[in-house]
Amino acid sequence: MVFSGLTFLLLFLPSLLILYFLSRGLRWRNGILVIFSLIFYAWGEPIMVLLLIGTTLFNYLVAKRMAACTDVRGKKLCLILGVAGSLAGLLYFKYAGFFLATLADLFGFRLDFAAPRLPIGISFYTFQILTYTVDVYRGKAGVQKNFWRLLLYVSCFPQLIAGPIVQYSDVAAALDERAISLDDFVDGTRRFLLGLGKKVLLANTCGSFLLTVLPTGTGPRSIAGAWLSAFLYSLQLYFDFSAYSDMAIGLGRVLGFSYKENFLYPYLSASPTDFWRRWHISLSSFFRDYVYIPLGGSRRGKARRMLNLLIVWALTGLWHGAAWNFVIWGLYWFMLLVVDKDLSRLWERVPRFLRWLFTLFAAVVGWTIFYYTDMPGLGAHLSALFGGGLPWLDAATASAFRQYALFLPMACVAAAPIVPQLKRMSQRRPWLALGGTVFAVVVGLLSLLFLIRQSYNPFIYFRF
Amino acid sequence: MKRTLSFLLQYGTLVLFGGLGALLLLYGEKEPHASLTENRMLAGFPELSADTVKSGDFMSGLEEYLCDNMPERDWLVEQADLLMSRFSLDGPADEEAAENALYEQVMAMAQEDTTDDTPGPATMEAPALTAAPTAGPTPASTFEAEATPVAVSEASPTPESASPEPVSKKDLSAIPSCALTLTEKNGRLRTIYTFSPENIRGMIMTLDAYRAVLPADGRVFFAQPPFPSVANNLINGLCVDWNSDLEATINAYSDEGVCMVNVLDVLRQPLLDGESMYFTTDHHWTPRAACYTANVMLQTMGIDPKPYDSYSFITYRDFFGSAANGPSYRSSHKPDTLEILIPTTPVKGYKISWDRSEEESPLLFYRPSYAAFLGGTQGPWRRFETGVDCGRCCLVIGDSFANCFLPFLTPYYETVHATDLRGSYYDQRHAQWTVSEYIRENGIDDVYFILSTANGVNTVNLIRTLRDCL
Repeated sequence: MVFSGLTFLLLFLPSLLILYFLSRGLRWRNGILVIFSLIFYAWGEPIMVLLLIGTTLFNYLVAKRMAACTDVRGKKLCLILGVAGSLAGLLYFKYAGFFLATLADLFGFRLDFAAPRLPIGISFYTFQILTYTVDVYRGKAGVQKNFWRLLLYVSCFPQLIAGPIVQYSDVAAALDERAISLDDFVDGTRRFLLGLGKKVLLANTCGSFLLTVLPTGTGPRSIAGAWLSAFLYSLQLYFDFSAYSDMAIGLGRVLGFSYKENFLYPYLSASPTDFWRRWHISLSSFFRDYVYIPLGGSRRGKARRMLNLLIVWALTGLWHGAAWNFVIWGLYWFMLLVVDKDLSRLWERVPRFLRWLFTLFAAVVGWTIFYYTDMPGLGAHLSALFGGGLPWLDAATASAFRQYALFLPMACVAAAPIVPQLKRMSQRRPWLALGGTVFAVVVGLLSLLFLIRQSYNPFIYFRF
Repeated sequence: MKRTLSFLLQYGTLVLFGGLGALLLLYGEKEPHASLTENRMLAGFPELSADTVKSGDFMSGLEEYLCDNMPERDWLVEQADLLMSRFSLDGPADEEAAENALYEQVMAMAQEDTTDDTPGPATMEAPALTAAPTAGPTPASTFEAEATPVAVSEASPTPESASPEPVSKKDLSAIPSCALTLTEKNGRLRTIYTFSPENIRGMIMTLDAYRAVLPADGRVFFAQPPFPSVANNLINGLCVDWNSDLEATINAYSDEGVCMVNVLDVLRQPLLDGESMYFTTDHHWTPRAACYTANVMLQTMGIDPKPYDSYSFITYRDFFGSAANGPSYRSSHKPDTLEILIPTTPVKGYKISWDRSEEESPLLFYRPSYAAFLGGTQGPWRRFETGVDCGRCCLVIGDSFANCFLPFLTPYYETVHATDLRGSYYDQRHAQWTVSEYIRENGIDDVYFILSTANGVNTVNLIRTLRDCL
């Protein structure tokens, strides 16, 4: 099920909220939330819900055993078992086909292996359950004795299938006790409605615009077409993913959970490092806390730091998809970040506008690598960005540009921090807060209108 | 206070969402049904079983059901489209410019298609004609007459063969009501349209009035093609047959020289045989269906018309029509194939304005659009000089369904005139001549009415306007 589907908006969400707020006591609310979350997941993956429950149960038992161990070696063994067991599912479903095909290509043997269908959200919930096992090992979090509460942590539907990746220690307290105020409900609902609008009105329109300029399976027909399509894909990715995060954070708040921000207007970044502090923050935090720092971070000399960064970015690329373009994309960012860190003093002397322009350019080129899973297509588009023997402008691009001319500046404005600014202003002018609510309701109703109009609106980040 | 108001507003929105959901579950149309505006079957409530849940069909079916059965869906979709158009800089003139740009691009492709797939104009065969009877048009002298089998003759009984028993002419008070029905798999008849005696009488009076202003050997033809949403019932196998008794009734009660062709009879067998009679992404019939209908009309005049497959075409396999709602539709639907006729003679076309000034406008445009036919409907008058030397002229009065029908008359008439008398294309206040004056001045022999069911017998105002304009 997706947030931007009529089944969710008209049937699932109202039913859940009625039952959730009618029930008294945390046990009932947790129970309702677990049942609805499993239905939410099973709606798209009727069988794979068993994998989700199985992975959770496995880590629940491992963590319990770990807590019972008195010696460090036993705890470490439990940790290795928990991490390996959790990653085994991810490796099999997501990477087995890719690695075997690569090996077959390398050594020239024929392989009859049909890659299994990727369970929705497996990359997200695997990382979430890993944070539980590791946090228990580190002593950062206590072991969860109630399986259903651990299942609620992993399966809680707002963040289940497209993040943000919620670390166990961040929500452990809320699983045992949480209160919901009127402010939580109002702010959470508003955030959800605005996120819905971001997805339906902005991300989907960007997607339609992109398909007009760059129909699926084709390459750019002009230099302008190449840049416009790269820029549109960058906007679509941002709106799509950050909209999902907004909706998840909003719904979480309505239900009494407080999730951390996942996006902080990344296209305003003035350096590659800054960009990754603002884009998919929960993933960067995961890799920092659970991969980079355990590997030694920057404490073991420059060469080791480089190696650690290389590992982190290769994994970041692979996490996004089992294809070589994602690995290249990860390494592309690795190089940019290394250069950025090494030249940081020099870089800071450059005017901020130029730094911003460069970072935006780097991000747009990066998303172009991200877009193409076929290497010839990627090569052709990168070549088109810088000439590639194509004309400056083609008729289809010009026509599409005119068709969406007024949408484009609106989308650019929407990618800037307007809402936080208005929120700050509304603290002094309460009528602005009410205006914000009216705006959110109008956006919500418009989104419903557009959902009726268009039946094709997949979330891009589901495939990760 | 403001916080409470915010809460109530947002709470109200969620209640509205939930209320809509409950309303759709309780009162939504549970059976699949046709949408006229979208040219497709709207989803019914999905089957709930272990298999459909396991396969995910129930879930996707429920989403479709909720979307398709939304109250006032057509209006809502229209409003969303209107809103989207506000973000576009393109006006009609820009769209024309964009189309011209596209035209330039596809002409190159069309040239390749012509050389690859279809014989070019230079290699085209002359149309097959037999000597016309005294009442019919004279075959073009430049064409050799040859006996070519008529593709539709087997599947399409001529209107005369379908006429009911003779009744006393002009006893219009005895006209029965008629209906267009679908036969479901279980043999049950489902009525799609009913035609009241008053509406049929109005149509007959109009047809007779036109017949009266034509020469003695003139003919008035009428065809009322149903919308694809009706045909989809046959195409999708939901129904096994369709029938209409309207045509036989009109033929029985109207004057001699008036002939209404039963399009359902013409298209039945081809539809059941899986021939493309309607587009799947557009609300019009295909040129093939139009040609079959035209040929039945021509046959009644003793002409042996050229079968559809013996014409040459430029073929576009990426046609998305009026139902294609934006690029997202295109990525999730299969395109149609659009065949645009290569005329058998170099037809010259003109748009005629109210002030009688003329501007050249081709018969056909080679681009993947239904507007390829005549460049779309353009008022008030059109004239096509076919280069066929037969001394006979005709006038086609219709809606957009007539646009792809008209080219199939060009091999048999010296001049083909066209007009669309609907209010948005024809304004009587500006008319400097009546239709009867136009018929007289231009020596028109035959009149063809091609009006889809949306503009046919039941459109009382339009049928009255057709008479008033005369």
